[in-house]
Amino acid sequence: MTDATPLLRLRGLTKSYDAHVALHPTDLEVERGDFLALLGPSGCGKTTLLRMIGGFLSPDRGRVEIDGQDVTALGPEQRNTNIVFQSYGLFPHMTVRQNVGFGLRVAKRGRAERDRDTAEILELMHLAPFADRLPAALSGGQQQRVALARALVMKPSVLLLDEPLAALDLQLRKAMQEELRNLHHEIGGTFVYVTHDQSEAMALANRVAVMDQGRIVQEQSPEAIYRHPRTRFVANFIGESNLLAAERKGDTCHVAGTSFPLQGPDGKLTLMVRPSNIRLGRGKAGCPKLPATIAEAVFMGDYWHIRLKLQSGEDLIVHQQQPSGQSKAPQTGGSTTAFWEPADCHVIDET
Amino acid sequence: MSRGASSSRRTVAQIAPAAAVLTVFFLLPGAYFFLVSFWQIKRYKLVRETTLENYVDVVREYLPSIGFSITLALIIAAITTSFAFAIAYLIRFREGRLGTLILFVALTTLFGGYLVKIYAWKTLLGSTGIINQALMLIGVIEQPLDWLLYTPLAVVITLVHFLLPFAILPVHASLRGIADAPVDAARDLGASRFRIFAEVVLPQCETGVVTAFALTFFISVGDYVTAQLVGGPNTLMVGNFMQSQFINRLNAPIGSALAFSTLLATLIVFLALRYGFRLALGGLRR
Amino acid sequence: MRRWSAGSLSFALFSLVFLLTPLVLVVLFSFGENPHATLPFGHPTLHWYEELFANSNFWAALKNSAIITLSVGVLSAITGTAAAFGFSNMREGPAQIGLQFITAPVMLPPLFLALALATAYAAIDAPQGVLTVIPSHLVFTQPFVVLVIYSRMATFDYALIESARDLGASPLSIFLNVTLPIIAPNLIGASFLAMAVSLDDFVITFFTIGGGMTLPTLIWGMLRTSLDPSINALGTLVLVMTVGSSIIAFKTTRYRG
Repeated sequence: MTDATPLLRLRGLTKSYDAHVALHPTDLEVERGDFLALLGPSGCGKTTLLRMIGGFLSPDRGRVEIDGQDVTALGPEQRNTNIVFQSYGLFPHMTVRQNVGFGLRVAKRGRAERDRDTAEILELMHLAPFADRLPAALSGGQQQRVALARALVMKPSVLLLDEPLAALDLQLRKAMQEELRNLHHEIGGTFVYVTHDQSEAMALANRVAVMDQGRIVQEQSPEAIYRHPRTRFVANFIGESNLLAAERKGDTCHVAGTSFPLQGPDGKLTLMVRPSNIRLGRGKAGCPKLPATIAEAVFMGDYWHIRLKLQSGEDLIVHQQQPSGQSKAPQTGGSTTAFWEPADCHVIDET
Repeated sequence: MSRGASSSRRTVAQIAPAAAVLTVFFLLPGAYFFLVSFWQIKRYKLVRETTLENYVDVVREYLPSIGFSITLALIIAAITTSFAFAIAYLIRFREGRLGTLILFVALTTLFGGYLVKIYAWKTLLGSTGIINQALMLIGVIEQPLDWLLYTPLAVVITLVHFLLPFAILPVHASLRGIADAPVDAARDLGASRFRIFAEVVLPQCETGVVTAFALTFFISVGDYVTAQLVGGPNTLMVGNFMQSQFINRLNAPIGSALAFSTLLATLIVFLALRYGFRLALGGLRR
Repeated sequence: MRRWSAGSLSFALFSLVFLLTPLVLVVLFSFGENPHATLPFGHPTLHWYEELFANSNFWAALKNSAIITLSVGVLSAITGTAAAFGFSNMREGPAQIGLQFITAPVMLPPLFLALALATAYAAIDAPQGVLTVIPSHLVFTQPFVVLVIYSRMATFDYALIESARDLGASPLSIFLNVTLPIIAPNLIGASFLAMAVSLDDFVITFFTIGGGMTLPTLIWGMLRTSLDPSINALGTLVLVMTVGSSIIAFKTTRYRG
C-alpha cells in the first residue's frame, strides 16, 4: 500500500438504462503510467465505463476522480482526458494538420506553440507526409494514427482508447499494437484501452480488467489472469482451457477417475488446466494421470490440437508440441494417458 | 465483357423516355422561350427579328422591381434556411420523438395545398383575422394591426411558411449524415457548443444548407401568386410583371426578357453569396 | 444526444404550431357555420360541402384533376423507373450528371417553366387543355420518381438478378418476378409523391390548360371573384388528397427524412 493517490480512481460507479443495468457499482484504480485494458465481450459494460471516464456519460451513482479531483460533474470538454474512438471521429472537412491542431486551437495556444506541437506529433506518428491531406484520402491505419495524434498532442493525463484497432485487418492490427506499445514506452502516460480481443489485451496492457455483465470480475496483470482465472468465465475468455468437475476430500482431489493430493477444504470444485500444460504418454510420478482415448487430432502447424475422451465422458483438449524430427501423427481411437504437473492446474472456487 | 454492348444499349433505351419528355417539354420550350426574348411584338404579331430592345426595356423599366424581388427573396430565403436549420438541428441532436413528429409534419405538408396555405394566411392576417382577434382579446392592442396583411411582411410570412418544409428536408438529410464521433471528439478536445456548431457541424452540412437556401431563394424570386393575394397593390414581385406581360398585354418577348434577366441576376447574387459563405467557413478554420 | 432544454422545446413546439395552424384553421372553418373565416367557428355544419357539391364547376374541376393526376402518376412511374434503372447501370459520375439534367425542371421557379411552355404551345398552335397539362406536369414529376427509385437501386442486391438469370429466367420474367416485387413499395410511394405534386400544382396548370379548370385553378377563381365560404370545404378536400398521398408515399417508402 502506498499513500500516493492513484491517477484515476472510480468509486461505486453505476449506470442503468431503464431496467437494464449497464454497469453494477464498480471501483477501479489506475496508477500513473499504467496501460490498463478493459476486456470483455460486447455488452459487458466496458465502453459504458470508458465513456463515463471521458465524461460522455454521467453515472447514476458514484464518483470519477482524476489526480484526486472529483470530475464526476464535468463534461468531456472540461476533463484532462482525451479519447480515440473506434470509428476515429476525424473531422472529414479538415486536413490532417487541422485535425491534429484543433484541440490546441480551442485551448487558445499561441500560433508558434501550436505549429511546433503539431509538427512534432505528426513526425512521431509518421504522418508528416500526409499533413495536408483530408482524412478520406488516408488508409485505415493512417486515419487511426491521426486520431491518436489528435488526442496525444493534448498531453492528456489519461488517454482513453475505445477499440481503436477493431476496424483494421489482422496484419495492420499487429503492427499497430507494436506501435502503440512503443508509443507508451516512449512518451509514458496513462492509457485505458477497451477491447474485446484477449490477445490484444495481453499484448498491450500491464494490467487487465476482465468485465462480464456489467462487472469487473478480475483485475490483475495479464500473466496472473492467465494463470489464475478467478471464475469459469475468465478461464474461458482468456485463452483456451479445460474445466473439469472435481471433488476434494481430506486433501485429496478426485477428478475423472483418478486422484491426486491437493490441499484445501472438502467440497466440490472446478479444476482448470490449460491445453498446453497437458502432456501425453506414460505419465510421471506425482502427476495426476488420466487414461483416455484420442477422439480427434487436428494439425495446427505449431502443435497438434487433440481432443481426448476421458473415462468420465468429459472432453479434454490437449495442445501437443511437435518434438523436432518426429512426425508421427497421434492415432485417432488410440489409448493414451494424459498428465500434468500439479502446479499447472488451478482451482476455480464456485458455489 | 460480352454484356457491355447490349447493356449500354439497354441503358440508353431505359433513359430515352424520360429524356424525351425533358427535351420536348423543358429544353426545347426553354430554348424557344430564350429566342423569343430577342424578338418583338408588332401589331399583335410576333416578328422574328433579332434585337436587344426587350432587354433595354427591362433595364430601363424593371430593374427596381427585379432588385426588390431579389431583396425580398433573400430575406425570405435567409429566414427560412435559418429556421429550417434550427429545426433540423434539434431533430438531429435531441433525443425523443418530438423531432420525428416535426419531420413527419414537414414531409406530409410539403406538397399539400400551395393555394390553400396562401389563402389561410390571408384570413389569418386580415384586420378581422384570428391574429388580430387574439391580440385584441388578450389586450395587447386596441385597434387591429393594419400592416399585417397587404404588405411585404405578409408575403414574407406566407412564403416562409410555404417553403419551410422544402428547406428542412435537405438540411436534415445532410445533418443526418454527420456521425456522432467527430462531434464527441470535438467536445473531448474542449470545444464549446458554438465552436462545435460553427467548425464541425456547419461545414459538414454545407451542401444541405446551400441547397435549402438556393431552393427557397429561387422559388421566392419567381413566385407571384403570394404577392398577388397577400402582398397588396404595393408589393409587386417581378413575377407579377412577367405574368401580366403574358396575360394582360400578350407581350411574350418582354416577359421572356424579364424572366431571363431575373434568372441571371438571381444566379449572380446566389453565386456571390455562396462564395462569401465558403470564404467565411474557411476563415474560421485557420 | 442531449435532452431538450426549455428554450429548444418551446421553439420546437412553436415550429409545429406555425406549420400546422393555417391548415388546421381551414379545415375547422369548413365545418363551421361562420361564413367569415373569423372566430368563433359557429355550430358544426356540412353546409359548405353541400354548397360545393352543388357547384357544377367543382365536378368539372374534379374530373380534370383526376384525369391529370392519375395519368401523371402512371406515366411518371414508367418514365421515372426506366430512367432510374438506366442511371443505376451507369458509373457514378455520368449518372450524377444525368440526374442533374432530369431534375433541372424542379429547381426553377414554376413560373419560368409555365411561361416557356405557354409560349411554345402558342407557337405551334397546340390546342390547350388536359392533354397539354399532362406532359407539362410529367416533366417536373418524373424527377421525384427517378430520385426515389435510383436511391432504392443503390442498395439493391444484384445477386438476386444474377441468381434468376442463372436459373434461366428471361429479362422480362426477372423484372416482373424479382425486381418489381422488391421495389414495389418504393414505386408506389414515388407515384403517390408525383400525384401529390401534380394535384397541387397551380402555376403550370394555369398557363397550359387554356379554358379548362382543375381543383387549384377553381380555388384561384374563387379567391379572385367572390368570398365564397365553400372555398374552405374545397381547400380541405385538396389538403386531404395531397397530404393523404404524401402520407401514403412516405409510409410505403418508409422514408425517414
